[in-house]
Amino acid sequence: MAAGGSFFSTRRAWGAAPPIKVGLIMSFSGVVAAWGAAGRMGAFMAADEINQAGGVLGRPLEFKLEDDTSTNAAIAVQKARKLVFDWGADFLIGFNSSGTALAVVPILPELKRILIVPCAASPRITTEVWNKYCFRNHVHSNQKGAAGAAIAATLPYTKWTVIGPDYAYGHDSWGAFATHLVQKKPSVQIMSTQAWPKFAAGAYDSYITRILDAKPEAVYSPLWGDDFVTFVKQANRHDFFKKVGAFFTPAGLAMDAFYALRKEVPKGIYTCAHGYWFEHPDTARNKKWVEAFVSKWGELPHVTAHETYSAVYYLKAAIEKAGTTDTEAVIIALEGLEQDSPSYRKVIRKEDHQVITDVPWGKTQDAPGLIPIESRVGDIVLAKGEEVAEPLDQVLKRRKEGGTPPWMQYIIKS
Amino acid sequence: MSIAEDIAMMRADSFVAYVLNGLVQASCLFLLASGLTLIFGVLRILNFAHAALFMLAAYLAAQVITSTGSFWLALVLVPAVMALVGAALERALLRRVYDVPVPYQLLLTFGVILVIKDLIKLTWGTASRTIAEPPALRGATSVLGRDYPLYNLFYIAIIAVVAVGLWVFLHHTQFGKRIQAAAADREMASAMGINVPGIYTAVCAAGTALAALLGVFHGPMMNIHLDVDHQYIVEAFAVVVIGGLGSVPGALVGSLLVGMLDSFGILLIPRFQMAFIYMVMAAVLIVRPQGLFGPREG
Repeated sequence: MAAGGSFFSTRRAWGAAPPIKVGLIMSFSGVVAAWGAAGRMGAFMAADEINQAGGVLGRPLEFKLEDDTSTNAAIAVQKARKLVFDWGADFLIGFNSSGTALAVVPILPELKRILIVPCAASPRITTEVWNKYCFRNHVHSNQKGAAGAAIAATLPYTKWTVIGPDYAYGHDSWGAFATHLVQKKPSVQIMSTQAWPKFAAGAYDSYITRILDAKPEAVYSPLWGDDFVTFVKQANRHDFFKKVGAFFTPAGLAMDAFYALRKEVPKGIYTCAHGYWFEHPDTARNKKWVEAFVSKWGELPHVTAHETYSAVYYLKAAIEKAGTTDTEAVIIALEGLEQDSPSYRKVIRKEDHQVITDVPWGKTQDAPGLIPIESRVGDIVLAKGEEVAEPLDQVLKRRKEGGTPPWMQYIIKS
Repeated sequence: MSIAEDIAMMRADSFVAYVLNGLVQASCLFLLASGLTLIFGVLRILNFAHAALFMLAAYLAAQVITSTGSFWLALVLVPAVMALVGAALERALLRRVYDVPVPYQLLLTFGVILVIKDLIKLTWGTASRTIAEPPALRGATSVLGRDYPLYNLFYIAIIAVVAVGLWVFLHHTQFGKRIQAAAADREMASAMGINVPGIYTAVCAAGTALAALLGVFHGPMMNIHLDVDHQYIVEAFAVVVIGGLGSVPGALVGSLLVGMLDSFGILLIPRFQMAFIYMVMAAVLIVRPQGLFGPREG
């Protein structure tokens, strides 16, 4: 079940240069295993390129994988400790689920290791539970929510509800979106009939019946991974997507869902593909990267592959800037660091270590020529990173006050 | 909205939709739990690998459907193949642990899960896959003027047929009666000339075929991935405990109870929807430790 094992990407003479050890903790089993697999592909691709080009400070990157099983916070904590104390990891990259990430961030001061989060999207990771060892090179739910709400506010719908997984990410994703939507369009009515199935629920028929009976005009869904795929299969049968005016999902339609659903991907629904759709931006740099990815792995890149690739290059740049792998020095080097990722320019904000970058939202459409998925995210509108970033004073205030984020008022479970 | 308001506002078509949703859940649980309880009732082995066999069947069904495009072929082929797998499992492994302490039996069936998962990983990789329902069963049909998925209705109907068939088989056929005899008293049945080892193999094959049938039928309702067994086995065990270990009617009543609790729980008190099942299970264990239909044991 565990996908362990050390990894040297190239056999070359490194002489006496000791490797720089990077522990990668992701979901290699469980309902979001596809996201862990994608994370491995991106990280290994970057490591291969870097090692072939001479490594970092003349040292090779060495990876070790650990599996957080998608849901188990206690296992995630144990695996992080194991990577640092047993294996001697210099750096950690990790977490698909905010459920596991939020459990590990508080022990980073004890591990004295940097963690770069390339996927988990709860804003709390870089606000309420944040500490200086924690970095995220990926847009979080508040940024995605702000970008999505900008589009949602232009639509003629006012009655909104949600079907989302009942844990921090689901709450934060919907809460942030609803907050931005109400701010932009005060006539919006957040419905009290909401659906909060547990993570990995499997059966959604009654949630679907309940939501349809309440007659929402538009629905937002932070379901993701296999949960979203299962939901779509059951919802399609109830004609769910035709009965609601608009449907928004930030992370449901990442590449894993396109591969699983193919023609069954509902058309005309809004998504940001968790922050990256491989056809956007239409630049030579992105195209070249996608081509290299496809030739290496034989499949189209998932957002998480893009983000772990970026995370490894962030580490490389920061270590080279610091001239050492010393944790404290690399922290300072990462703060404010810019990167031209294959897609959009990224900047790690100094004060909260949260990346500021553009967010694409588009609409699903048929793409018969796009083998093998036959569907795509089209009509992409790009929200500017600076415009959707959470204002710093707000972040610092939330960090200082702790507790739960202000948008919990929009989560109604009765 | 309060619970009272919810019920007061509920229209007949909504009510029927929740009942049907509950029946879908119950059908799924019954097909899994009946095999589990049948194998336990006769072989006295709690087969932890039961849901892993269901998962393997779902992967096989996906493969058959991808290769041939026929859902119906998968429906015939996969349970037949899985029955052979079940028979082989009994002959090769389970037969060796009938007389050893229970922890060893659990270790063995748990080991089988790991083997099945690794086999799946080697054959199909870690990416999840899905099955589409046959074209004839796509779309919705009107139930009291409300659209309801055709496939869900088909699913409920077929599994009801399986439940009745199973009852007739166990109670009104020679072979069924022999199974019951072997389950009641192994030695006495053997003394009466019943081929007990043969019956054990047949029951394990039949129980596995039931799980396989669910693997195919449930395919269009789920995303098939390496941990899909976890999602179902816990509730299936709850059903078996509520209904009584070894009792097929118990599995039926337990499935209906849990299915309806799931469905209406989401409507009424979604916050406690998960807790309902365990509350019922705890209540049954306190009042009737052998389960609703379980035989009283000394």
